[in-house]
Amino acid sequence: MNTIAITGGRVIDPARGVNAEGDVYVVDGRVADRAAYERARAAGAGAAPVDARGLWVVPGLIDVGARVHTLSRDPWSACAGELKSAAAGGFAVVAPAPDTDPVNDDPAVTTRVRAIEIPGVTPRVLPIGALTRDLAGDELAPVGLMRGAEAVAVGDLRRAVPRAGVFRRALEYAWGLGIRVIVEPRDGSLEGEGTAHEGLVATRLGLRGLPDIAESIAVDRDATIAAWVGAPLHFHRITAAIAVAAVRRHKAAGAAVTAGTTAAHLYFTDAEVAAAEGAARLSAPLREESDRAALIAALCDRTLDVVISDHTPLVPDDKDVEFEAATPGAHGFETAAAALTTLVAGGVLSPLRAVELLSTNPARVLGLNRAGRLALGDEGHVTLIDPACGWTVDPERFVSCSRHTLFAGMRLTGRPVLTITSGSVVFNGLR
Amino acid sequence: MATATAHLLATDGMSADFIYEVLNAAEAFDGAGERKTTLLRGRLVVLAFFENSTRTRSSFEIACKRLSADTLSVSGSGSSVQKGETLLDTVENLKAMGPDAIVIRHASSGAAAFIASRTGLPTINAGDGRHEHPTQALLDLYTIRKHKGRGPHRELAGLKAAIIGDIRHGRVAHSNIHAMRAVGMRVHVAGPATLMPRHIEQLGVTVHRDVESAVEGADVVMALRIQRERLAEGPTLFPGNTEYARLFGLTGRRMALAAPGAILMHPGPINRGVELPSELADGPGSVILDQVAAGVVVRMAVLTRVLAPEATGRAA
Repeated sequence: MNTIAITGGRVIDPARGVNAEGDVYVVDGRVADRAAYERARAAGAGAAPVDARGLWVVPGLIDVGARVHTLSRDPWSACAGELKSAAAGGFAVVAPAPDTDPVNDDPAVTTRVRAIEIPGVTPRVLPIGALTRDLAGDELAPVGLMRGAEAVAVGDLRRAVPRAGVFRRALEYAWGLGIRVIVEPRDGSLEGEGTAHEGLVATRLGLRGLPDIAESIAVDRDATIAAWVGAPLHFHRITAAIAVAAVRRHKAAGAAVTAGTTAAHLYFTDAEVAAAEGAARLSAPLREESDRAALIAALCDRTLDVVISDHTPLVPDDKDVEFEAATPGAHGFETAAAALTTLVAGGVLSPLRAVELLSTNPARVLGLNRAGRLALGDEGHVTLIDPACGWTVDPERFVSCSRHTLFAGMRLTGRPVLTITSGSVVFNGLR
Repeated sequence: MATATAHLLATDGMSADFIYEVLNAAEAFDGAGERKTTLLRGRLVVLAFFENSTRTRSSFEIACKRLSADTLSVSGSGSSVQKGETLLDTVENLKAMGPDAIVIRHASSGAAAFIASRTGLPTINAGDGRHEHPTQALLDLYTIRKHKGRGPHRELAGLKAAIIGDIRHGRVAHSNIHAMRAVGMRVHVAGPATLMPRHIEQLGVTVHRDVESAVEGADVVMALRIQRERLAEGPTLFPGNTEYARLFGLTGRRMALAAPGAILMHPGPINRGVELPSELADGPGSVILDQVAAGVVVRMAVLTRVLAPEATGRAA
């Protein structure tokens, strides 16, 4: 059942420069033309066409670096449920971070992560492998073997590799094999035992600080190394204005760097920390209003390329505790896309830009030539979004087991209503 | 005609003429009826091996003996080097005892040239750090010529060689690259990016990201030894032998991409199952043992060039 037609919607496909009413056909899991669809239908394949009038029809959304494991007990059991949550959030493709249990630093684990996907039922799962063994930053992980086990990219996604010499070699080796590397630009030594952005809020609350220069210094170091090695590099989460400036500078110098941020960082600041306690503890800290504003501006001026959900499924035991004891992370799947459509409704972003951030660019960053776009022959991943639907975020109604989100109770505009992976519907929210 | 040479330090800068002279001289020793000649009788050659070696040292010893030269073996362990004597002092002391030449292997790049210039003693480089191992390259070319030499003069120009592995730390790779380029061979390299020196393409070499494209159509495939454990940076250079073997090891399937009748070489010692599986190392295309045999006659040719230049190509 991977043949489907979506008709009458507004097709927004930045990679092809399309932003107009049109139809999309998927035959045998690939984007096809109407004739091929008619033939397939005549042969008895496929579902009835989907009426997409009033809806956006966009290349399936792609989420980089989410977690589908619960970080506490029995990590693998909740995966299918979390993938359903991703689908409900409009994500047709999920690229999970390597901090699984065991760590995804071995092709056997990569295979296991890849196998979380249930074709026809869940979004596509493309594992991100570790760059260093055990994410420890000392020895190279067998990235070539992991790529052979279908890892889509590699990166520790936790902190920057502590020693520059090790990072240089790891990047050189990986890119020598054509494998893309993703970096979480946080200098571990500068961050130390910090838990919250090092600003006035942390001072008032007596929380250990995470200085923003830990982020910009890591960006500078790793972008410089990448330019010297001649490899592209993606920065996973940028949260600070000073780091935005660093990315901008390296891009202006012609470096092949890309960067992302999270939906939560576009909305919230460290002001939440005082109010929400454990729920506001994210692994990349919420910073000040000036940082948030810089992130928004960076989305518009193309300094930032990707917005991620940063989904981390946690349970109350992890979060309903005092701030410094809380496990960092929050729910993200079912609010990320809506967070961007709300910015579109508010005139901050164009629809084209929103789709670029959620689909076109993530595909590029992961080196996926046939995704993030709806050209003939591309993967049949499609997301339908109702751009005008107003709704209130109610964590109790989340598909995910994880209920912690700073978006709780917020009114958002726009919401994914149908998610298709390789021509199969993995989420149907159409009435 | 004969080219006397005070030293043999590197293939970098060697001319094709010189190389073919050495190969021809080696061939004469190879074909000679008598195994032993008196060309270097009465000469004393110091074999100073400050780095471990089985093949090369034995090869030089046998070469000396076949030429009737006397040898004195000096190694790093059990010598005054262990008491803290510098290399230069060690060699100067040896020089004072009147040797005619020194064959030196040392862990420092440039050690052979250093000794040659400071002592003036005729010096043969048996491997200096990560720099050069010129006699290895010469015996490799000798072996290639034996199987693949073309035309009436059995020339090597135009043959394609693929060198796979640790180019960065490999003095064998460096020496081969210079020597092969000198005789007009096409040289292609592949290996982990962390083991590929920057700017290597400026030596006239084509760098490939994967083994398959390097090996395609090659007449000669040379696998180099991978020594992760010996490298201080080892754990950061590549993830280990399993990954190396899978991604860069020569397999039957990869070798099938080479030209028909391609020869497989390795300077030894082989890490079986890493650079090469046993089936290939011991298989019909492998000329690895030929390389070892070639070592003796090539080193005989080099020794006579350095010590008895008037004895060109003439086996006594």
